Amino acid sequence: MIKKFTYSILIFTLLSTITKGAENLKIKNDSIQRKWYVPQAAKIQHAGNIGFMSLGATYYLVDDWYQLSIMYGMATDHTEAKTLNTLALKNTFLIKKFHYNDFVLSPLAGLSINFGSTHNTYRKLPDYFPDKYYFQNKIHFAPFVGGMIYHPLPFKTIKGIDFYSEVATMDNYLLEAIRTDYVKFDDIWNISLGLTLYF
Amino acid sequence: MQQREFVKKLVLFGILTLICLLPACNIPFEYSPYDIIVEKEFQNLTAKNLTKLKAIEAGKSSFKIALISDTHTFYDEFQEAVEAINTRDDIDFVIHAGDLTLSALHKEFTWFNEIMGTLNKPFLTVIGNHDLLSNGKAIYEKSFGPNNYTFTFRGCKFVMFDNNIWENKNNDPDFEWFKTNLKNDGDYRFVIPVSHIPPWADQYNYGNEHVFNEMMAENNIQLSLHGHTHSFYHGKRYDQVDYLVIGDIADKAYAIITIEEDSYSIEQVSF
Repeated sequence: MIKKFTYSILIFTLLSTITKGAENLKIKNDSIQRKWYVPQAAKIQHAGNIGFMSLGATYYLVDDWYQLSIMYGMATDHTEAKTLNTLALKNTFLIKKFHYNDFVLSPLAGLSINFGSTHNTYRKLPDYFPDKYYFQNKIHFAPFVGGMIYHPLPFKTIKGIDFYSEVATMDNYLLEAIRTDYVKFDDIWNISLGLTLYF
Repeated sequence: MQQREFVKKLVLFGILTLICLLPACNIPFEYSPYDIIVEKEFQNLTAKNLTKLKAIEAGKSSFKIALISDTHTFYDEFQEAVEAINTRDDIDFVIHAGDLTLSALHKEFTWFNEIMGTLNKPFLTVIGNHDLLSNGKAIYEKSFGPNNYTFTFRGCKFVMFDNNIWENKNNDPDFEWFKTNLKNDGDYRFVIPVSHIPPWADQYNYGNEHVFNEMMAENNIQLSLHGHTHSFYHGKRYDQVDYLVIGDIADKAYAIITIEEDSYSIEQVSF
């Protein structure tokens, strides 16, 4: 599953690089040479199955339209589960940018790979389980669609800000909506809100 | 000036987006698939159902129970089962022998409870191994109550027992509690234990299998109810105790246990 996903992302990335190569509508002009590990942006997000509040660093993988955000969602009393931590690799694709005055609006879509950690979540089962007794329940694939509004800022360190909202679901729920009549597609979605600060 | 103009525009766009998105979608915020969320109507269901059971207890000594198990995410078949049981006036209550969910995520518990909410009879549950995954134990306790409990109905005692091992961090079930509560301490016609895993199934090693059966023999238990194996079994596997294991709901069958004054009978019903 993970292999398939990695191949899909690679193929998608290659194809997109070819088709999008000519496009030069960057959200911001980044002429500074930065070290590979310095993120281009930082995110703060509410909800979206990665914690009550999550923080993350965003890297542009292909130009600025394919972004990878590494998010950490914090444990929260809202869930009554004190040990609930989530790490998410959030792949966001800006589908098409629309410019309006100084604003840039873009619909977006993507896939988040969420690593959840709480009680009885397993990537590899403890030895006392027979092999393949359960399918792993630590990693979830969460597709999402949404939109964002970006505006540049007149500061040296923070050069722009965007507000985004996403509607997402998760592999388990999507599967049930496909597999059963009982679970309707309306039942499986959740919404999140976030801010991105661009450096 | 430039900043003020920017803030004005941003607030305007933010409000516009919120106004357009949220009411149009009516989509909830969710913080994790492992959230311990149980809607108020689905909380304390064991206590609520025991109250319902008390209300119908008087007047007769015989009764019928429908036994279902391992509904997991077979929601369509589960709905059909509830509809089929609803058409029968002779069933007094329903026992679910565990594995209410597949991954114990809060939405799965909600879907289970929504379907069970359409049942026109009281129901009682035991927790299954799948229900203990992730935060399932906490969700189960909030939705139903304690994992181990007993209740009585028309002169019979039911001992509802969490006998899962591996998902309880490979710890043995609370056999002390089980042993204490298997005792016929009220001159009951039958003491009937209900637990998810039959003692010969995967999670039981020889020692635990032996302990379980010893307790059954010591307390002169005649009938024990289970799920877990996903296939129907009814028989005296160890010569003494009558074991009834109901298959998963995808088998499209439930069992009827009829308790008479001094005897009981078992019937498998397809729907």
